[in-house]
Amino acid sequence: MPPATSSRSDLERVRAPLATANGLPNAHYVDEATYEEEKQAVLFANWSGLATASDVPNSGDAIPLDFAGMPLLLLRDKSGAVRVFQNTCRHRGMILVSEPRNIEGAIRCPYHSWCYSTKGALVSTPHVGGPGQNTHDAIVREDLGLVEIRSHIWMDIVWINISGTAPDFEIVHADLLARWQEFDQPLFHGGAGSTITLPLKANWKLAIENYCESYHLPWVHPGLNVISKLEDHYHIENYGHFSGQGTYVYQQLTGNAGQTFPDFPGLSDKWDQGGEYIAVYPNVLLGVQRDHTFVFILETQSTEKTVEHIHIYYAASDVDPALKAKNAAQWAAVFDEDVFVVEGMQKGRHAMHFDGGRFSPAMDGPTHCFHDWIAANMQSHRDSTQI
Amino acid sequence: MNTLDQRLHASHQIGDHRALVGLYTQAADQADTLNAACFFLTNAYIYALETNHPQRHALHARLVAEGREA
Repeated sequence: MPPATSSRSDLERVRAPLATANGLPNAHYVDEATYEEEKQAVLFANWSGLATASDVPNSGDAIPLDFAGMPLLLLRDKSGAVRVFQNTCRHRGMILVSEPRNIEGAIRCPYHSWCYSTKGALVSTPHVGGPGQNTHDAIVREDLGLVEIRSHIWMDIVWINISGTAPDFEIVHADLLARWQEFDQPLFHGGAGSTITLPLKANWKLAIENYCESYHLPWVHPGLNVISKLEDHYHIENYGHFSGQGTYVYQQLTGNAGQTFPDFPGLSDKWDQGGEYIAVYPNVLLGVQRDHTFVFILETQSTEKTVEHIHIYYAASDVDPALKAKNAAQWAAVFDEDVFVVEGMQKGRHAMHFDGGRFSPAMDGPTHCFHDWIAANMQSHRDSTQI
Repeated sequence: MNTLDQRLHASHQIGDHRALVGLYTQAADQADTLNAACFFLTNAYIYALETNHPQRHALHARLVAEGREA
C-alpha cells in the first residue's frame, strides 16, 4: 500500500530534470491530509487569485467568498479601493456578510451588531459596557478592526497572500509583468455574457497542468488545431513562477460583416499573430491576444472538486455585442473540450500503482515546471514546520 | 393604531432597518430613564450607521453627550 502522502524522495523525483522526473504522486490529488498541507504551503503562502475587481464594480459592493475553506469578504470601500477581509467579526467570530450585497453605510455584524467601516475600522460596539453604554476601557476599537488580507490587483484579478509572508507581488512576478508590460493598460470586462463558470470533478492542479501545455491540442482540440497547429506553438517556462504556451498564428475573430474587435493600443508587431497562455502559479490561468484577454480563477472546493471562473476582457467597453457573444461561445466550447481530460486524469489518480507519470522531454516542460514549483513549496513548508 | 412596540416588531420582521432608526429614536424620546433612553438611542444609531441614515451624526452626538459613545 503506498503511503498516504508524498515523501521527501517522491518530491525529489518530481524535481529531477525533466527527462527523468516523475509527476506528483497520487496523494497530491486524492489525499485529504495532503490537500490541507498544500493549502498552507501553496495557496496561502503565495499570491493566489481570489476573484476579479469587476465582481465589485460599485463602492460598497461586497461579496462573501470561500477561499479553500477560509471565509473572506471582497469589497470595494467608500473610496473605491478593492479590499479583502476575513469575513469574521472580531467579537464572537460570526460571519459578517452571508450574501452578496451593497453596504450602504457600515458592516453590521448580525449577532451583537458590532459595526465596521468599509475600510475595516471598528466604529461602534453597542452595549459593550452594559445596556446603553457603547464603550469599555478593555475594548480598544483601534486594535479590533477587521483582519485585512494582503491583496493586489493586476489584470483585474484580485490576488491575495493569506500568510502575509510572500514578497511583494511586483517582485514575485517581475518577469511576467515585464513580459506582458504591453497589456498593462485598461481591460474592459465583457459583462455577464463574457463570464463562464465550469465545475470540474478534479483537483485544481489538473486544470493548471492541462492548460499550460500545447501537447494535447491536436487530440483534444482538433478544431483549434486546424488554425493553430502544434508546430505553431512554443513553450513558456519560468521555473519558480509560471509556465504556459504561446502561438505564432493567432487569428482574429470576425463577425458576419467582417468586423473585428478593436486592438489594445500600442502593441508591438509580436502580437499581430501572437497569443500567449500562461498559468500563473498557483491558481490563475491567463490568455492574451491583440484584441482580447481572458482569465481563469480556479476555485478549489475540495480535494476533488474545482470551479473555473472565466472572464473575457476587451480593449473598449463598447465592443460589438454579437461578436462578443460569438467569442464567448467559441472559447466556452474550447474550454469545455478540456473537461473530460481533466476529470479523466483525476479518476486515473485513484489507481494506486500510478507513479505520477513520466513527462515528454520535448513537450511537457511547462507541466514539469508547475510540478517542480509545487514540490519545492511543499518541501519548503515541511522543512519549516518540522519540529 | 399600532403601538410603538408593534411597529418596531413589524420593522424587525421585514428587515426595514431605515425605519428602525426613527422608531428607536422615538422610543428613546419616550423613555422614563436616561439609561433606557441611551439603550434605544444606541439601537437607532447602529441602524443609522448600517443604512448610512442622515440622522447618524445627530444620534452619535446625543450618545457622546451622555458619555455613551466614543
